[in-house]
Amino acid sequence: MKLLIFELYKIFSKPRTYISYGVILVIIFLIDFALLFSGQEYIDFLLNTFKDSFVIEGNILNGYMISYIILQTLIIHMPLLVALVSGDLISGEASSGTIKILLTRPNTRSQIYFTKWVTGELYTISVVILLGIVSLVFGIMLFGTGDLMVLKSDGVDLIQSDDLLWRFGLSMSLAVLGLSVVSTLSMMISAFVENSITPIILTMAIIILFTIIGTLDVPLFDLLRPYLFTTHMLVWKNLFDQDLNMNLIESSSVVLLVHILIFYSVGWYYFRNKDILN
Amino acid sequence: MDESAIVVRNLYKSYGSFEAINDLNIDIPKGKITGLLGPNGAGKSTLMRCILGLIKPTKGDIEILNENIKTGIPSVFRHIGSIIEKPDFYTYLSARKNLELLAMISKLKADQINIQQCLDLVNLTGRENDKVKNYSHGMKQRLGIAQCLIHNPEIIILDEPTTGLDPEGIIEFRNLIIRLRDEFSKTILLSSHILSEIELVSDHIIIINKGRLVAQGNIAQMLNEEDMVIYLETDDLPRTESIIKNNFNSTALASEEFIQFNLNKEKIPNLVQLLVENNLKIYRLDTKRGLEELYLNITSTHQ
Repeated sequence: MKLLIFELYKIFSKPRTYISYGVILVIIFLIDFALLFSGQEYIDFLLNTFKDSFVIEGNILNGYMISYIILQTLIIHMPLLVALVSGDLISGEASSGTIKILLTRPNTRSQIYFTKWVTGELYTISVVILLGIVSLVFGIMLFGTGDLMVLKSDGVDLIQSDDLLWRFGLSMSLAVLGLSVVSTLSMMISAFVENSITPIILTMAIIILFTIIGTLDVPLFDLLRPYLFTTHMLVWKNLFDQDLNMNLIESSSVVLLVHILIFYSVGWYYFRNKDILN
Repeated sequence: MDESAIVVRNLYKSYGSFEAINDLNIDIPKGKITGLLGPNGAGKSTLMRCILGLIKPTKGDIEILNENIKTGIPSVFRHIGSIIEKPDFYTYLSARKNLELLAMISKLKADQINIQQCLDLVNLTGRENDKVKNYSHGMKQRLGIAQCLIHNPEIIILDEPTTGLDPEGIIEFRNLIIRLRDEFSKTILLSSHILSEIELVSDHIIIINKGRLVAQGNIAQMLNEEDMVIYLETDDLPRTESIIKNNFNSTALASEEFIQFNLNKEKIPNLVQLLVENNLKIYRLDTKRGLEELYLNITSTHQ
């Protein structure tokens, strides 16, 4: 527990930790205020194709809608914000030499690795919670509540307001799971290198590569796609389907958990046997 | 034979085909200052890192206070404080916060933590709330010692601790090390490139070269076992030099004030007798066995 407090104290003493929080808050406020002044034009644009098929009544531009838009916008950029902190957890200490202090105190390397991983996870959770809670609370304060209209490629899903809060909660949990893969991956890379930049760049490079493989319609990639964590990272969106596909949500969660386990094990094994030479 | 704080047996560490440590067997006595010497690349830092568990040996055993580090890590680290190459800190935090955090992860009970005492010992009281990034090199070095001592370890391992210090800082550091041994009975393993520093503070020395042990033992005994360096001042230096050359087959280095040469200590009475018989006035006769010479002799014969 003391080791965890030690790690948390360190990451929350660094300015880079607050970059993510700052970026999230700025974007939430920008989107909220932009939609406050020109939200109706935005809704009209979105519903342009459906305006002849539906009669829309009630408050469509509500806090849930705003929060959903913000989630969609920000979640794409979250891996970078998470890697910024997780990628520095071990390599940052290696480059500054402080890893020697940690390793020459009465704690095992396994304890140190696990504590650092938990720290990365807590940070990831804090970022998602901040995003979720601030966007929801601020959105509801400015725009009130109402049913959530979700535009799909094949139509529109309308989810009633009293059916929404649990969906937001569970989608946040799935977003945390997806981002935990990123956090564990960047920490694994962090165990292999001696500088903070490489884990961040390499993590983002892997995500971009996997995303490209996942979106290109090439038969060879069809075989790979189900095994790439990037395919399953956006499973949180499925929580906003009218009819939930629980099998898809469960299988994606398992794939993400397996990735966390693999990345954690590889990083832990390497760190446990690593010679500290600098 | 002194009781050993650290025992290294048949230690090997290789990187591919390169043997950084090769069948090393050493004993570091308890409550003494041991100087670790060797040329660059001899394996000094590798040895220290192996003792601290930072590098995994390829083969062999290390016992610290009778506990094998293969099984004893991390509990043995309760007894060790170290600075390897340079003291490392969280520079964005204050000195006090650094020490508080280290105390926290050192599994100490509240009554075992005395941060103020450590700060006082290294003369950092008054500056303890400044961020470490604003410290001078000497202050960081002193804080490094405080960091070593925060958990009151029995053993202190210092790798090149005086690197970058000014002469005043070196003297201050040396006095602190001696104080730690004399007042607090600490066992200190110290490596340095400055042989005179090692000679001034060490009770025991270990010399390694190319990863192998070349010599180890009590410094006073090791220095006395060899030839002495003689510094001789007489009223007629050229004649003195000639007598030395003819009778002792020793090459003398003459300056304007004295002659310096090597001589077995058993022959010193003969030298004095010869000088007196030749009516030379002896103003000064110093004998010294320098670590520098011993070190160079030993390492050159083990190339």
